[in-house]
Amino acid sequence: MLSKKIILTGSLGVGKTSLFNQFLYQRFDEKYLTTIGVKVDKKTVMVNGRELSLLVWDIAGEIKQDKVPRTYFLGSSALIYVFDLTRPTTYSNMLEDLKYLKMITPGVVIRVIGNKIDLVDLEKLNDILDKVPATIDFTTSAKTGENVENVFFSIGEELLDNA
Amino acid sequence: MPDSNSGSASGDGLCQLIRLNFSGAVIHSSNTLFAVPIDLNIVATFPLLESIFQSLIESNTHSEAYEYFAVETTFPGLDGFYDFRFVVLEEFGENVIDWTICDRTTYYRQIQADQQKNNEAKLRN
Repeated sequence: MLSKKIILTGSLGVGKTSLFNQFLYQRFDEKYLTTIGVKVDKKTVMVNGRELSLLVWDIAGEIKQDKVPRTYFLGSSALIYVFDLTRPTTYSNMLEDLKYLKMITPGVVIRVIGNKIDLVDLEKLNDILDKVPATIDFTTSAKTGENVENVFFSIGEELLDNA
Repeated sequence: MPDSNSGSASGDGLCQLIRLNFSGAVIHSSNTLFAVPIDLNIVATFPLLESIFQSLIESNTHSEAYEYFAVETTFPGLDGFYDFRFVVLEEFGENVIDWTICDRTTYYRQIQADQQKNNEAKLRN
């Protein structure tokens, strides 16, 4: 079976661990617990009739991506750059971060995810999205599970298309 | 990110060396932390190892060590925080991977508690 490494990255407190737990275990914890290093687990999914093993890395949040150890990106096939829709500081470095990530992981699939959609008034969502400096691929809620599977399936589809 | 040079505050710090061949089978294990049968292929058992294994075997021998600090695992018998270090080298004409696993659970739990306070303060502001 084909297996692919996916890294959840972004600033601290944006919900990377919650997305990890929601996708892998269908679990959500209201309490914030900081990640200090790395957790890795895997899940097999069916994408267009093909089995794909996703090896998902949940790493400690960093305000700037160049603080993440380079070895973490070794062998990665996709990156999920997560920011918090309710905290502008979590997307203020986005352009710089994405430029850096593309430079150190050429050819890797990147998705930009605005998390915590459940905390945003729908009337204010467009205002927030206008302020985000890059194209957002998905808005998600790790709490309700909204779009979480879709993020990973869209990555799986692109990885299989490229395989 | 924590680093591995800060020293263990707890006295834990036992390390295990596992030597793998390029097929992923165990050639040697010190069994300091957990028992691993010789010849068993363990790559799929450890998702972190599985996700970098291909890159390791494609890397040059005598290349830099690949280090991962504060790896949180729930593997039975390894519930805690560990530092992982992978080195690819040639031994007696065969390419092998030396994987060192050091238990730093107590130390990192303290780091995590401190970091939790710092991060909660940042999130409030």
